[in-house]
Amino acid sequence: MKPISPQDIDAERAEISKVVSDGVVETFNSMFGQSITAGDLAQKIHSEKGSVYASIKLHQANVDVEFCFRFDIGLLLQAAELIFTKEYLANNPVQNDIACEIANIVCSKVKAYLNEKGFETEMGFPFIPRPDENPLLKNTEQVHMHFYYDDLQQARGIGVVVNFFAGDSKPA
Amino acid sequence: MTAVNIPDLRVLLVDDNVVVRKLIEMQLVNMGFKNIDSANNSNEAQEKISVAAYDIVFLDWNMPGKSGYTLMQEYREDRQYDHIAFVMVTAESQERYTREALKAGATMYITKPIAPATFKEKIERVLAWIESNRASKTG
Repeated sequence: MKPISPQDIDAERAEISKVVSDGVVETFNSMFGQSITAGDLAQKIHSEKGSVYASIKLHQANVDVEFCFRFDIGLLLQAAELIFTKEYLANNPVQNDIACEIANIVCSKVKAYLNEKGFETEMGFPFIPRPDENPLLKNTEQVHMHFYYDDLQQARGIGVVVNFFAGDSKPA
Repeated sequence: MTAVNIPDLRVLLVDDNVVVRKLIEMQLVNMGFKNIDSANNSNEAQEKISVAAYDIVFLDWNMPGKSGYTLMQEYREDRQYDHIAFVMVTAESQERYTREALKAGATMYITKPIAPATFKEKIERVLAWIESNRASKTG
């Protein structure tokens, strides 16, 4: 097992980003039949609908690689309405469940990629961070992975934003 | 196709994520399954398995509390549950996890995200396992 360092993650950033990008597109398509595309930040954001955040950590020794996902609520509602009735959703919001499951699947692919490179990691459970716990997405200039979708009015906007960062482990 | 009568089979879906349970349920219903229960964690699953005779149990490998993998290992140590087909469902795509699950007694291993065509093909193999298992017990 090779020890992992933040420098290793930076060196693999382009490849990890590709794994994440392919994983997000494949997961939305396979699970919900939704078509989303990776792109740059030059398009408008569906910010008026609100967002759901999900985070997950890959861990080895004293290093954490944390992934933070921000989902447009409109995209998650589209997905939810494909599998649940509106009556069910009125009493049982499932946006957090969808967000966590997508983060879980995508980060499992990253874990597999790192393992192929000799970096064995443990993956934690996905979690919904508190509003003050998602600094990874605050500086949008440092975020390079954006995914677009068409909402029900056929307006194109950002549906998913992902960023990741490696650093020393913090106590849970 | 198998001689197993799908509507008669009892299925338990064990996953802490309601979305995953619903997606699997929808695909099973499309295949003709009618008796489908669900459990949110391993403890709830154990309670249900203790009072109902399930033919197929879908288990999420990683769940808070007792993992699906551990739960399956426990049942595989008890021969009275030999008839249950355990289907491990996980996002872990590495080959070694598949080998580990099958070695520990899983009947099938399904990787998320679950593609409908792959799911159907794997469930047909589970049905063939059930048929073969029943034949070996009666023959």
